[in-house]
Amino acid sequence: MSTFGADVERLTEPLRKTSKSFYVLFGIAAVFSAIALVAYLIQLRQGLAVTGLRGWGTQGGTPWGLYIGTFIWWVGIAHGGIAISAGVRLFGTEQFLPIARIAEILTIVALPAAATNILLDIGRPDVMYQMILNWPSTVQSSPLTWDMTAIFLYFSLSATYLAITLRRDVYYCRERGTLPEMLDPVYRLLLFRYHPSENEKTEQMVWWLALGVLLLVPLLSGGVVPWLFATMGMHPGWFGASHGPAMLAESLTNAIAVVIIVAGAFRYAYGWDDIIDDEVFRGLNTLLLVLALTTLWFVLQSLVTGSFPAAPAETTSLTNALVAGEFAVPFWLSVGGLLVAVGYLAAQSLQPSLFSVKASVAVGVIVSAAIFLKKVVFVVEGLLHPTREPLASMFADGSYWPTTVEVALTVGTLAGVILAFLAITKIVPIVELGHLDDLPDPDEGDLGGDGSTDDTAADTEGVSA
Amino acid sequence: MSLGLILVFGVLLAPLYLVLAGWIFGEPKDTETLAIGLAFMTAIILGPIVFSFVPISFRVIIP
Repeated sequence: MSTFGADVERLTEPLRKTSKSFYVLFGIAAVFSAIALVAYLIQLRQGLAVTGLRGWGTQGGTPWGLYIGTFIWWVGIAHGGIAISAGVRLFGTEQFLPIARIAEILTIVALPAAATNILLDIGRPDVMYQMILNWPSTVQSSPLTWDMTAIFLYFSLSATYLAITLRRDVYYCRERGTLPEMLDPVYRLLLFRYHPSENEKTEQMVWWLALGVLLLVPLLSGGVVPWLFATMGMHPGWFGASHGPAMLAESLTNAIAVVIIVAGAFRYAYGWDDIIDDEVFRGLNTLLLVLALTTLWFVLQSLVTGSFPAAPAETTSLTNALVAGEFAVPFWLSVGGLLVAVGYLAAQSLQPSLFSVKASVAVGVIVSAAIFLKKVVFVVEGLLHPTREPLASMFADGSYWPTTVEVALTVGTLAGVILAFLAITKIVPIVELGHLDDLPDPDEGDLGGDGSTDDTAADTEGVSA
Repeated sequence: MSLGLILVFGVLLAPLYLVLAGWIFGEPKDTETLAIGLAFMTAIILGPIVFSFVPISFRVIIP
């Protein structure tokens, strides 16, 4: 059974009930967030010297490392969310409807996490202000500015999408009295001049937003993010046209993996086995299988071309570093993780009895960790070895290892996202109610609450006043 | 015209143009709901821009 037959009270349960496991998870995330805050204060006081990041070339280090790798990882995750929801609207993949809102929220919390990692990497936070101030000139030629612009646009469209789709559900829940009263000012703002008759236009507007968001996905993870690297000819391993599609495949792989993890967590936490049913996970597993295979196919491309005797010297050197050199451990862990995932996903596809939600979630964790390693290695590898002249003769090879501060802040962004997610489950319904079969037509006024139609209309007008 | 301007205003912002065109010219037409949608989008765009000026306070604390 999907949401279509589910009871509204059950779907809005997270708004009213708080389990012990919620408090435990909230507490753990709060502790790691606090540790990250302390780490950030240390970094602010002492500068980037407390990180493993150093100037490229003369300082023998890399200016980009864990923070930028984590940034790309979060941007990738952000795609899965809204893309799944948009797919439901554009392509009728209603199988994923029960997780559409969860996925949308994932996007909304993942993008700020990505931006936070940029803020961590630039050191002084007021540099961000300079970046905005200089936008009119840097937009002419800076891939970083294109990147900021695209992420900002993606966030704006996604947040508008979420806000518009929430209006009907919040209206419905508010009339039934299932929303926390202390947040009423927030709901009144969200329901500004809401009237049930707007739903037809709202659906049309959301459809266009879904189209816009889906068009942005390849422009972001397959465009401006890889162009940060693919336009830089002086760094071995970075330059090239294939990074766009390769990174898009990696990002979408990661995104679906994390959607599986989050969907599994909600199913477990609220006993929603019948709402987020096995078919949702089977569908996501199939998607993940195709995407993980595509990612591995791109890895194969780079290994074959980089290992061939006629490859350019710096490409050969880099490939050797990945296969049997200093990056071999994270590289093969990453490839191994993807292979294990593909093995399980293919097996459960051929032999359905092998399927289980727990195994699917475990595979999601493995895939996401594998992509994380791959992203960090990709960022660092291109900066360590200045193999092209004249830089090769000027600078020695660099080195990089993340410090405790970097690790604490990276874990902190994850903890912050979990905190935000938990908080949002207490503010808005996390399953779309608008598609429930038994959802009364608001135009008819009977919403199952105490108020009559006239009361409802009057109250909404009050909201708008 | 630079590559960046063509890329940002010609390609990256194209989905936004499409969304706005769809909202304005698509059926059904409902001016009030359209205006609310535009107001939400504007607020969401302006919010992070205003918030991004908060880090400037760091410059006041440590010039």
